[in-house]
Amino acid sequence: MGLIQAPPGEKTGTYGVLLAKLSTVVGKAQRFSVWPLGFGLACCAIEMMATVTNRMDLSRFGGEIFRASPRQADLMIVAGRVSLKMAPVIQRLYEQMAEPRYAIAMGACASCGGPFDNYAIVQGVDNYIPVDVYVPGCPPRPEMLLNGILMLHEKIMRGEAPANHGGIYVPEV
Amino acid sequence: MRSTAAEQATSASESAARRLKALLGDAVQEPRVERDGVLTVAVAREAVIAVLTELRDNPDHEFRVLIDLTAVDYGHGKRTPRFDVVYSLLSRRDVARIRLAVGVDEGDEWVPTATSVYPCANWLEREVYDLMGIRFDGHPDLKRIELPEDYDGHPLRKEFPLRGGHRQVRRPEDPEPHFGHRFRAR
Repeated sequence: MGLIQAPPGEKTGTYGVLLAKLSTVVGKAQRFSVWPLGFGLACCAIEMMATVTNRMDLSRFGGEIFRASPRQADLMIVAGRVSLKMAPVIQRLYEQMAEPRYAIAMGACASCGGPFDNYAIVQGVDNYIPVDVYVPGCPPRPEMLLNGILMLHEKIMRGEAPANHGGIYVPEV
Repeated sequence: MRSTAAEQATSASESAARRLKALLGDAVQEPRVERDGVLTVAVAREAVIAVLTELRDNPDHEFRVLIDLTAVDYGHGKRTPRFDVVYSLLSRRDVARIRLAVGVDEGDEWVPTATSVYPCANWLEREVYDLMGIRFDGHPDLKRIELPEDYDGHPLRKEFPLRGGHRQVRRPEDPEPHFGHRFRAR
């Protein structure tokens, strides 16, 4: 290892060469900074807030900065029950997010309507926006939401998210 | 000490009920005590504004707070009148409560608005209109408050289906959701 002096840059084992797909590399970079648009509608918002507090600490995984504007956010966490009156608002906000954009349905109500199977509550926010990860619970514990966000990170790394067009944006080189 | 206050409150409600009976005669029925201990008086629709004004302004009882304005649907054909519009009043001075029940017939679902007497009735009446379909004559802005503006039907009526009668899963052929007349895309 140390006896043969190779010209600088050539592969001797001291310089590393990584072979990978571009989408994987970009995905690995993207997942470190997924800024949530906290869309706390109801009780699940409390647990989402708890995930950001220092005990669970979402900022370890890049999601500390909850943006108020969808234009600046990557991830929409739909936390809470979605009423019929709120559904077009959610759809418009999702459309305003810049790609690549992801969505997590947090809790039973956002996933499937939860305990409210009636005239006013939408039976799952995926009737209006494409959802990447569903987190069950009523409400899910902060650890469960964290698990869902990490699952989303793995999806991003593999290049499988976002759900709206099944690929990531790869700039033309 | 507690019992004296409770007795005082009960007597305030009762004296209010007696005074109303003396003032308005036929329009006010005999008071009865509901399950939660609140004195309830049945009032005719024509007299409800007079009764509310009297209860609010009379210095003997001063029911100055409208705690709740809601409605009850007994079901089609189950009772005449079908609906009851219920006003719950509170007197903070005596900590006394009184309740008015105004009978409303099916097909004739309207009641004069209480917003001139209690301004907070504005949104409470909008909610009753939204969910029960009872109109409030003279209301400054009677429109739906909880359901979308273009929603069809009044869900808390007894014959309204639980799930609303509309499809719960959106299909691609369904029309785009919209905000109603307020938010028009430019």
